[in-house]
Amino acid sequence: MLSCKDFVTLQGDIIEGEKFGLWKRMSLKMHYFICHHCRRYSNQIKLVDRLSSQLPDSKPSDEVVHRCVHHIEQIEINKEK
Amino acid sequence: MKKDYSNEAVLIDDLLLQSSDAYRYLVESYYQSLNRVAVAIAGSAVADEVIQEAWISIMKALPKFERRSSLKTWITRIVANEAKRRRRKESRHISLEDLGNDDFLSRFDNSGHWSKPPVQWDFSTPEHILDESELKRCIEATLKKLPDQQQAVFGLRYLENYSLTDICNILEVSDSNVRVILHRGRNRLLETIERFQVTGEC
Repeated sequence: MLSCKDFVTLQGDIIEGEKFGLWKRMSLKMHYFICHHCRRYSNQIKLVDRLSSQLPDSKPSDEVVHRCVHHIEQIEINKEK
Repeated sequence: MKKDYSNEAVLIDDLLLQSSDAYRYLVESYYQSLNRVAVAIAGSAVADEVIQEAWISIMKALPKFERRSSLKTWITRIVANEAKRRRRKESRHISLEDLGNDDFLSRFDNSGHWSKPPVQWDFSTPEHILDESELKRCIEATLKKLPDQQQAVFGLRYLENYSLTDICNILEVSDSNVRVILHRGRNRLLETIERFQVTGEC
């Protein structure tokens, strides 16, 4: 019988697409149906997974872009010398 | 007329012609991703230096780039190699293998049952969560509080859409460690949303 702690740990593997054997799949399903806390956790962590893919990414600052472009231009100038 | 640098062939051709616009596009599009790779491997203190060093190798090798992989894959590999070289040189570095304790486990008692179970949320979709601007700010703050290297791995997975296998190959870390980092990151976000649900604050 899985504990809630085991169930929670395995949710990370499920999100990463891990394929379990029949016995573990049955244990997970059974636990999901009998434990409303874990059912809630499972639904919430899947929502967090979907949310994480939709988080906006930041852009490099103008200072970083300027510095890198200048650096690359210098590399090219030095190559030609 | 502006060129379509999302077409990689056009971008490469213009990089070879030493176009400043192409350089700018390259940096704006790839820097964050390359920085995450460099941070995850060599640490945030030297990540920018690693990238600057890698630009030299990239620009020198570009005329010989055979286009058998995507430009991003090729550049990422060069940055990862430079970061690994730098890590070997550093006498002291923090490894991704050192994960520390998992705070989420304190929510379980000794028999493995919840001692602090999750609370019900009012949010049912990612859009619903992101529409709540204060909560969105809390989520971004939570990610920034993760250790730099773990933040970088989380970013590679979710912001750059790298697969678990790709992350393990690029960083040369074990599959289980990457899984643990991602699992803990997600749990941190879950707790942030939970705290906001209960208190209305971060």
